[in-house]
Amino acid sequence: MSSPTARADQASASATGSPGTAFDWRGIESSPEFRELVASKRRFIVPAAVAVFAIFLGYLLLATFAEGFMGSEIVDGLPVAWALAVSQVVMTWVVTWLYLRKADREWEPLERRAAERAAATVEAAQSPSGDRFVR
Amino acid sequence: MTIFAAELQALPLAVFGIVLAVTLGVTFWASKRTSTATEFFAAGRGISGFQNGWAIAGDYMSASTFLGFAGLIFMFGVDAFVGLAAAIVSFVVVLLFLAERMRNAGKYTLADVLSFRLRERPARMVAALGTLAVASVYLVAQMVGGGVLIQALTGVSFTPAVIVVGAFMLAYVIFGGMLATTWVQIIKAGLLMSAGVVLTVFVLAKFGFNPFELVNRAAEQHPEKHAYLEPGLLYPTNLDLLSFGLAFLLGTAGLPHILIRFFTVPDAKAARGSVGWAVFLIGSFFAMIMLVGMGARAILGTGGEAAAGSSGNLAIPVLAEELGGGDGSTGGELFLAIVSAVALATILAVVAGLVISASGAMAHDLWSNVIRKGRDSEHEEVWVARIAALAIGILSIVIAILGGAGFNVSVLVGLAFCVAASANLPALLFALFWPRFNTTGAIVGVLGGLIASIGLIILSPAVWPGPDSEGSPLGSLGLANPAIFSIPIGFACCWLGTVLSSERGAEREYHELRVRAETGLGAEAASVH
Repeated sequence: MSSPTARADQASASATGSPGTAFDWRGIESSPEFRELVASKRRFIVPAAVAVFAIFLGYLLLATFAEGFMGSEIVDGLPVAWALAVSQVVMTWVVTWLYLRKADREWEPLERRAAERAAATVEAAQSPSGDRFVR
Repeated sequence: MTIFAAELQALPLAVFGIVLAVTLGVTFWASKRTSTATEFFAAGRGISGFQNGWAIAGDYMSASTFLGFAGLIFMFGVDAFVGLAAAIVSFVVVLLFLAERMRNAGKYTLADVLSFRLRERPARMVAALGTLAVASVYLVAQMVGGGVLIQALTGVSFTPAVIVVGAFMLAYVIFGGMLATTWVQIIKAGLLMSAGVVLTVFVLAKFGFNPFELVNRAAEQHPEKHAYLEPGLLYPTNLDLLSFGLAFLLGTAGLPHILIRFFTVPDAKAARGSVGWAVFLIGSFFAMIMLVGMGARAILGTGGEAAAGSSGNLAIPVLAEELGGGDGSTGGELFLAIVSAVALATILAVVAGLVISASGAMAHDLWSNVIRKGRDSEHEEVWVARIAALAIGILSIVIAILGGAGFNVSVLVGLAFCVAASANLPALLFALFWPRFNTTGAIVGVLGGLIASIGLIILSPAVWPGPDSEGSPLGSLGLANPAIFSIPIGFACCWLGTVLSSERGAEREYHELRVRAETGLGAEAASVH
């Protein structure tokens, strides 16, 4: 704790002493549940972010350097520039939907299990929601 | 001071009056439910994911989205699509990296997340500086844009228009806190979406519901003909377009007034759900704006350019009047009045969100935790927040009036996104994901990103006078938006400051922050009403 004065009243606010001792944070972090949660999130988030950035940058570079191509019409009255702009909206919707589905189905149960394990390590008398912040 | 710049438009003023009355009613209702700090800053964390999704849409889509982008499409075609595409894709960054983690680890402000594992006082000071810089620049931009718009739409001149906008903005925030701000944003999003649907249907009806026909007619009606359907009319250089796209792509994830919205929901599930609703609403609206902007070109043609103004800001109001039956017809006036009222609601919702984010940085970060070192009461914190809101509000009103229409609104908006992406986002991402990150890194990163964005904007062609802004010291390297340089500078400064400092203490706290952010363990609970 690098700033004890600013957080002086936390010890009194939290029955468990300093916030670091309310939970065994390092213990939870190295638990199999938490590792699985973080690994599962990373398996989705990193490829999703890379794909979205690549697709958007591709669109941006086309808009910047391929003006003629962007103006060409897929069918009469539908320029590529329009189709690609709308495709960015659709891409955002799809990635968001996939993320929400993953979070509800896979990550939420893992989060709950990690939290349950954490609660088990703390005595029943201690509140699981210590007031972390200086008010 | 002249109150009226032109002949008063009675109908728009009447519809404005209705909007203002409804929002004041909401504020009165909210004021009875706003006394604790959690209620003032975070609406008691009782906003549902669905409601927060609408509020984010209302907070995010400014008058420059509704009128500005449509006007740019009307004038310059598909170049303006890039801004809309970047603005919606930017929510992927918010969702994947920030939304749930902010909710889990934070309390009222961005600084909560930074100061969690860094030295509290310096971390809060730089985080508050980043928030205040973005909020104040964006606020002045919105006030100036709003004043110009109201003058054009109602005949009330610039100065009183800015004062009225500022007064209502302050009333929402000071009396109703985040709860009133949230509902003003929800109401505004509802009005905006309705206006978008009605305009789209009316525009499409003119072309037998055939959008391809609409596009062809739009190109015919533009002096550049087919080049209207190609990029290149709006941005003079390639680098400008790239830089502008990057500023919007990464800027949203550093906008304090958007990120603090995640503190208003009960848990992480509601936080991510609210992004789902927000991208659905914002994406739909952007798709409609693309159609309506091109529709304005197809329907109004070159003849509409004079009425729409030099940057096309009034293209939508002029189009609405035309769709309602034309100048002088009852339908035309009614349509114009409704679109004007929607624009007003749009401005009010955004400025209220900005003021409450700035007041949180002043009261919660600077006053409670830096000056009073956490020894003040909750009651004091809320009162300081109200006073801070008043001070920020009055200052922005004065700056907007003094600068007047001399401010280039699009430069200011670009600067706000640039600072958000270059100063706020790198520090937030490093704090959440890099164990080694430390206080020095945060200080150097925020200041570096801030100085780089503001410095490069000041040196940019948009600020220097003369034809084609030849006076810019950067010459042809000067960009209207320097994001392509300043964002890497911001990230590099965070990294450099960290590795050059011997401070290692921040790593211990990282484990706690990480577990909290990922699992929601020990997160701030919703207050019970």
